[in-house]
Amino acid sequence: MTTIKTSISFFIALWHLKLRLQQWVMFSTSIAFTLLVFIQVISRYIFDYSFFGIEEAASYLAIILYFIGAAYGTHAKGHISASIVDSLCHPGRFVNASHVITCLISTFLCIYLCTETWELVQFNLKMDVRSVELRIPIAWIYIGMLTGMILMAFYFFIEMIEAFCHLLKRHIS
Amino acid sequence: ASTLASTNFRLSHSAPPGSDRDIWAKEFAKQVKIQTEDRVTFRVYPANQLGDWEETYDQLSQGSIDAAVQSLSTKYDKRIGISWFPYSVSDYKSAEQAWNVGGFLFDVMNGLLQKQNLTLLAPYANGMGGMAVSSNVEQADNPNADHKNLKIRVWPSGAATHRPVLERLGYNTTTMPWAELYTGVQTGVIDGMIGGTPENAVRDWNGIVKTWVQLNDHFEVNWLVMNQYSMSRISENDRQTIQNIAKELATERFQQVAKSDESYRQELKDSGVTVITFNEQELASISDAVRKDVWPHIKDELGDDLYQLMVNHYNE
Amino acid sequence: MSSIVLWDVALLITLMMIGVPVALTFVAAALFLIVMGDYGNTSFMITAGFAKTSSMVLLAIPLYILAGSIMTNGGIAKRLLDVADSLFGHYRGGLGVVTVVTTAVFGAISGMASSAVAAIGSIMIPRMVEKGYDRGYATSLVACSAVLALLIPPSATMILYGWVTSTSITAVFLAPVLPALLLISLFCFWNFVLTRKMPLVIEKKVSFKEAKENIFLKTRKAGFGLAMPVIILGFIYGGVTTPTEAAAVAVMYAVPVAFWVYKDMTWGSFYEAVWKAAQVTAVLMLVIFCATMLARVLTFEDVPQQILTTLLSITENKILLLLLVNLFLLMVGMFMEDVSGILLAAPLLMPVMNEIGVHPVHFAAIIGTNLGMGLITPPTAPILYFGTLVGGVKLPQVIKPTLVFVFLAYLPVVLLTTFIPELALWLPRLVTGL
Ligand code: NA
Ligand code: NA
Repeated sequence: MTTIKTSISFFIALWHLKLRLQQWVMFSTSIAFTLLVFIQVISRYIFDYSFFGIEEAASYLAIILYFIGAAYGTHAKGHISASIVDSLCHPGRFVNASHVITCLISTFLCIYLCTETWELVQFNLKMDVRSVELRIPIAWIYIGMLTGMILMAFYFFIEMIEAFCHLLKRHIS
Repeated sequence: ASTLASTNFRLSHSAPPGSDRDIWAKEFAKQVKIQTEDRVTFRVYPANQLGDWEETYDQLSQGSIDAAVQSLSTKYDKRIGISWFPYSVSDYKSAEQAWNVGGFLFDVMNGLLQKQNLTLLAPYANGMGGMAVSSNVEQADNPNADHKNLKIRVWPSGAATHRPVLERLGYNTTTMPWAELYTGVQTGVIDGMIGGTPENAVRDWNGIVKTWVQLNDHFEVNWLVMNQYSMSRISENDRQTIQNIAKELATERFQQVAKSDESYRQELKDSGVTVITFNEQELASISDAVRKDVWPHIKDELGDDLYQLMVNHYNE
Repeated sequence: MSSIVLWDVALLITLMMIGVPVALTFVAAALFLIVMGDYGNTSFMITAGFAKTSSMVLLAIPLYILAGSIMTNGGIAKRLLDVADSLFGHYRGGLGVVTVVTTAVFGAISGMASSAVAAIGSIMIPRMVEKGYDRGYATSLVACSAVLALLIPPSATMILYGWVTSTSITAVFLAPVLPALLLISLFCFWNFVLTRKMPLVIEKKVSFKEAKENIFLKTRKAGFGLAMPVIILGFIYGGVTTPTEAAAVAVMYAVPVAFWVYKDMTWGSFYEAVWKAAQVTAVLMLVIFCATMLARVLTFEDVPQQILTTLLSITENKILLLLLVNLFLLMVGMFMEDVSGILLAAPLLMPVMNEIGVHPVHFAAIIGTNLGMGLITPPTAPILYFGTLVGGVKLPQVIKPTLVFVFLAYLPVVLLTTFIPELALWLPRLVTGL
């Protein structure tokens, strides 16, 4: 019994750690690309010197941020949605059922994105594709994006299970 | 399957409809259709419709599109930089000898592209490279002059080679995304850019360019390339036909390119742009300076083998 | 138009309406076309999304969102409101004008309508209700004027337009500014008309000297915030930076202002402001990434060309075509928010605009005003819905004033922008030479 309890609290701690880690990644990448672009402005305008590769580094950091952040957005239920069901229908079994369905579809679509991106990770590793200025392996960027996508699929899956439990509970009571 | 079934290919290029390159690509598609008796057709997508050239380069290698007439970047292989290696060729005659089908640089390039799932059909001769500047350029012919007040944008793939070239010639170099380039020059964030031909100066920079410096720093070639898997979908005969058409059109283009450059330079002059060209002696002093002072520093971009090949060829 | 594409549109709208996140509805629509079509290698979709979203130009969006977020958390909205209040507060209906004007000025700091609703609405709606304005009306006014944030530079929507059509953002930023000014005047006008019968509490008029001192004091306090748009625009149009770089400068400016001038920010709230801005950005970027995938498949399917031929087969009259385009955009705006709308509609309609000789910068203003209006027109009206959340009212209460603003302010401005090119082109031409 106690071992179950400790392992559950361990997983909860792990879960929170992962969310905190995501926040930290979002914070530090944002600060990093802001500084990179700012340094370029100062350097070009005041010192008449341009760093090559700054734009590249900044935009690759940004694209990793987009996916890690989108995963966090999934956890926070912050995605842009145009749901008519939620805004026009009264809460009830119909709305709950539609949540289960939308989460199921979303999970499936995220998994599809993951598989396509995984193909590209392999392609870029095989061809050793590099960024043109800093020669960063492009596969790394895709791996960063893939991490975000996997997390996103995972969060949608969790949300689907939650929505399903919610639907059952309402159904029983 | 029906014996009449034809193989349809997608061909992408970045030039606007009606430009020299667009006309050339459409002529290629037309000839292929006629000579293969409709067995092979190319649908031409101009003006980056299927993505900008960096993206279509990926699509070509992955096989999402079958063919393209475009420039290539160094992302798959640094050595692609050989196609704009500064002052490797500085006149039209040697450019055609080096780059046309069967030329020594063509073979090098084809070898490099094999590893990227691509087959090189033919070069498309864009024109002689130069630099567009939004103000006057004094002493452009003097390789030791100081132009530190001019911030010239170098395209990303060209950073490794053309940044040192421009710095050797006394210019300040900088980066800027393509989409902001026009207004960037207009508002004065930067002063000009390198990496185009007189046609680019007319089509892309019209209205903001005050001076066109015909540096002849590189001869700009685009590549008619095809995905290898796409090639394998058609018969050996048709493949041969396509290659012959490509070669013929490439040769034709090489014969016109000098005249085309000249007429675009005239168009620039007519709209009030100062066009700076160099005589043989001036050009030699610039290219000697670059070969002597810059080549040793950028040879890593090509690797020893290619660099030696090039040095030997031009020292003959 | 091929029936597969029509089925695809139906699928897209259905998934949107049942509540699948907009970004993923684009993936579904792209996937449907891929499955129905003849595609060997499909990785080009991710390649397209990657190639386009890793662009330096697009980096302006996270940077402006970040700058806006730091300024908002640093308490800029309140200070801007104080200035406007000291100017207009003591007139009848003045608080309504304060809302409109503050939102417009706030829009010059923020790039998104939603942040304007959150920042201005949460302070202004309670204050207006306290002074006798109808709650539904106050909410509607905030939501409708929040759209100004996307018309006044910097604007995430205009950055996207420039990015997706390869038009310079420097020029595009200025295109919807005059239409926005027109909207501001119309809002102020209808504000006086609509509040005529409300039992408004009007503050006692103070002496001219007192008022002047008050205005001076409030303006000085808000000065650092008011300087931000001046810096952004000055850097871009003075040839110091690109729009993206100006955004980074704005962030670097906002941080010390929020920390040491306004003293409203702590390290904790800074950390939170940054990662929350990143989340907003990320969610938006996912939409952009996925819309790019769909757009790429649509070009492979030749849809822009089909739309062009379909429209030209109906009529070749430029005025009628522009009306049709407006109708099309109105429908897009009904179902999509501005970001998705612009990502899909701009590339689809660009060939039509080229054909009938509409300047890309002019089209920026047309599409901007149209899709801005779409943010407050049901069924899909995210800014209006968000407004009701902030204002704590039900949808029916805001519908009536919103209809007035839509039909008697937005629609006329949309039509004027469409048919008087100078309205969009005059300012960019003056400043950038176009
Ligand atoms: Na704005
Ligand atoms: Na709408």
